[in-house]
Amino acid sequence: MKPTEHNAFLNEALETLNRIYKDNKHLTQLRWFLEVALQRFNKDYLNSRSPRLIVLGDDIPAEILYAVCDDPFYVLGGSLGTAHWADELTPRDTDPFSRSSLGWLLNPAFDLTENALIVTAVSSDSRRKLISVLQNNGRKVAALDIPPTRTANAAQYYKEQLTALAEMIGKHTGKHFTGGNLKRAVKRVANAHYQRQRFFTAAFSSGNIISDEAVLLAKQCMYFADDLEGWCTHIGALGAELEQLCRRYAFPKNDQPSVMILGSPVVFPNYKVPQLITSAGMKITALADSLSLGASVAAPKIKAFTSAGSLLQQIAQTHLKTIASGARVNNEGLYAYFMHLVRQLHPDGIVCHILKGQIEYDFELPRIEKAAEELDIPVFRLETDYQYQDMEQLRIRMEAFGEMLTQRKIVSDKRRRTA
Amino acid sequence: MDNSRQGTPEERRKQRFLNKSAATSVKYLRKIDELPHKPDALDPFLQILKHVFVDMQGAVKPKDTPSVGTYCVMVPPELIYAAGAMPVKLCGGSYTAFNIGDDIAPRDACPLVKAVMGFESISVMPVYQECQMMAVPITCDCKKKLAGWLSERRRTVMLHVPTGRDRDEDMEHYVKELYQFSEELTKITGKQLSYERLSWACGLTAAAQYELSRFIELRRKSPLVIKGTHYLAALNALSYTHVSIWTRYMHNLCDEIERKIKRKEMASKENRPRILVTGSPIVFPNFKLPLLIEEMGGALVADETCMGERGAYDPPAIADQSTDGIMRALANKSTRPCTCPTFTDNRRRVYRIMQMLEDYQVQGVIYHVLRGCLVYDYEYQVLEEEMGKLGVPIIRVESDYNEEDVEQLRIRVEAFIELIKYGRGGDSAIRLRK
Repeated sequence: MKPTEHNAFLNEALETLNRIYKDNKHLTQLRWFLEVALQRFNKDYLNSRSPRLIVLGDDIPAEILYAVCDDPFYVLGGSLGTAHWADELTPRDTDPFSRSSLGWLLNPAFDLTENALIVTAVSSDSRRKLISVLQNNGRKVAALDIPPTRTANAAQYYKEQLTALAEMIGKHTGKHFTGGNLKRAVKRVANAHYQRQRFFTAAFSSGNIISDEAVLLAKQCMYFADDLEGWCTHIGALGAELEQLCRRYAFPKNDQPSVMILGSPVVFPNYKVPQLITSAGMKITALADSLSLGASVAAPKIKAFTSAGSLLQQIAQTHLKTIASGARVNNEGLYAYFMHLVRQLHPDGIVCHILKGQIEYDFELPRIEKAAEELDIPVFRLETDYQYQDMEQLRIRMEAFGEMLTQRKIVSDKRRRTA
Repeated sequence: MDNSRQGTPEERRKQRFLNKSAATSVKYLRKIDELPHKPDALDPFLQILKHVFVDMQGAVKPKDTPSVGTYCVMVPPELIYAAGAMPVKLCGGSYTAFNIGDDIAPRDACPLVKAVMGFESISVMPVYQECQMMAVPITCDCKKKLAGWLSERRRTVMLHVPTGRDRDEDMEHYVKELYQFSEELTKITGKQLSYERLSWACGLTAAAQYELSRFIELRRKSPLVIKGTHYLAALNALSYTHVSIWTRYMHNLCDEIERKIKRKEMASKENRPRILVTGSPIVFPNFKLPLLIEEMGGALVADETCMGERGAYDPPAIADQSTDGIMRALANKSTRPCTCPTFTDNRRRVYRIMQMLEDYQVQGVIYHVLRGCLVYDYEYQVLEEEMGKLGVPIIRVESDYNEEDVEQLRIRVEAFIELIKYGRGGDSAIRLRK
């Protein structure tokens, strides 16, 4: 599909999708994901969608949401077009993620909020103030207050918050919060996590058969698809296609330096950072951001007669322990996930992606840098927003980083051979 | 003999910090002191600031009283006094400490937090060093991360302040947080929480609040009876003084002002534009904004900031005369009336400001935003809209902890004051009075 004139909102998505399509023409199963992502930028679709539940961000346990709503509509920012719509409503220093999320909900082009209850976690200053902005504009909002620490008091409070939120959503959607509904939701989410993990393994071992941006898009479509089961089916099919291609064609050993992206979430259509990494001749080995972690948190195992209360308790404990949220005093979840990925995947470098205004990640950076230094992995801090003007400056820096990693790789290979 | 070359580089660095920090404080104290119509009873308050920031002594308190560092207004001082310690509000206003903190904190962190980090890392200010524990309410992002940073260096208690405060469950949670805080206080002072100690501490703060309410009543007079900069200095001094000492000084100040009123010795002329400052806190020595307002011919009649009236105004409403009853009252007074923008629903701040416009006959509002203080910046738009409906002029002034922007601020403040003098402000004040 060609970009249309005077429609920056759609064009941005089209540009990213066209690039992904061009790089992955051979993957027939990817088309479904491209269509799902494109649909998100179709104003007719958005005007007709009328969701009952809009979820701002990814900090709320998916099990709770699916227990009380069959098709929650996730808003994760990512779009420069929607960020522009919210310019007048937010202060200059607001992070683009929040700005863009607000633009999705308050804009002159479509109204998603007409029948919706908007739910969000109070994980940052921007998020807490977005609640006021939305309420002042007549939208119905429910907030989840995430405790900043992990004391017994905090765990109890978090569980109570989750219960209250689930009941409130249930009242709005008409799907009540019961043990049965929660159990079914846990199974649905666990299946989605399993499929995602399977796909990730297939994509990881398939080398350059699938581009990094395509992997990212396929995974993120979990949040964009109207039907979670549909996404599970298609991601399974895409994974199978990759495995088949791998079996059929021997692919050359990938000697590109591998990097891990860490920090602020990379959300479609703003794939500026993965695009830069790929164009600098590097391979993305993993993403350590809240979106990836949220989707990989292990769901609790269901025992035969588990009540809603005890299941909820398990969900609350798991999430409080593992989530990578800016709401925490120390983002232990992100740090632990980062260390786990580093030990598992041994990246050659780390790109710390900081969206302007998301200072919580900047506060975490010294700890990450220290850990990376001990492991002898170079860290590259990249601060940007959703604008594309800084692409060329970032490209120069990224290329220099890539060259440095390549050089290090050559030297270490040489040393290994001579040893 | 040149002493500057003595000691290790680290010692010399610390000495440079002390010299520079003291010089800035001396300069601002002199400016405050030189403002006309300064009451004599203000001197003890200025002495407190001098004691802490120039003489580099600790907080002004009875001997052997341990200090507990606090941040934000959500930590009830009554609880700390009841445990036999003294709260010291450590939100920083120092330009010198800010410069040190600038190297530690991320670029976009607010200057107040950078100043705190600077003070903590240089480790030379007795008022910081003597604190046996830090109590940090988790309010904004910067305070949240500051709490984590401090906890790696000092004994720190984090208080999770619920972002909503109208539900009983939220209040229940904060009561539990206060009980935990109280246990930590007992560990450092050895004094158990009891009804007697709590009610004694509430009595202490109630006496201070009584004097403060007297002071506020006097400040409402027109023409102005005390310069805004002077009252801000008096309220800033509360952060570093034992409340019983501060109450005595405040009593004397109120008495002197009353005598001045009888003699018709007012602190400004009647036609001075009456200005309210709201937004990010004004912490000594960062007094450039109040000083500019008064130097440019404005009358700073009121403030809606957490280092000013808001920090000490609300008394606990004790309905149940028991330890738990008082704890609940303290949790309530620390959050429910609070107009801090870190709460998700903060309409009450707008109502409070609108009430203040009437009480103080305000003609213009200056909205102070410290660079990086996003929560206040978000609320500007709502307030601007409301002020627009009332016809009260408002400007947003963004500033940092340095003196480089003073002249630019001066031009903006001067233009704003002229606008009120010759433009809309006068009419709006008349409308409000009617």
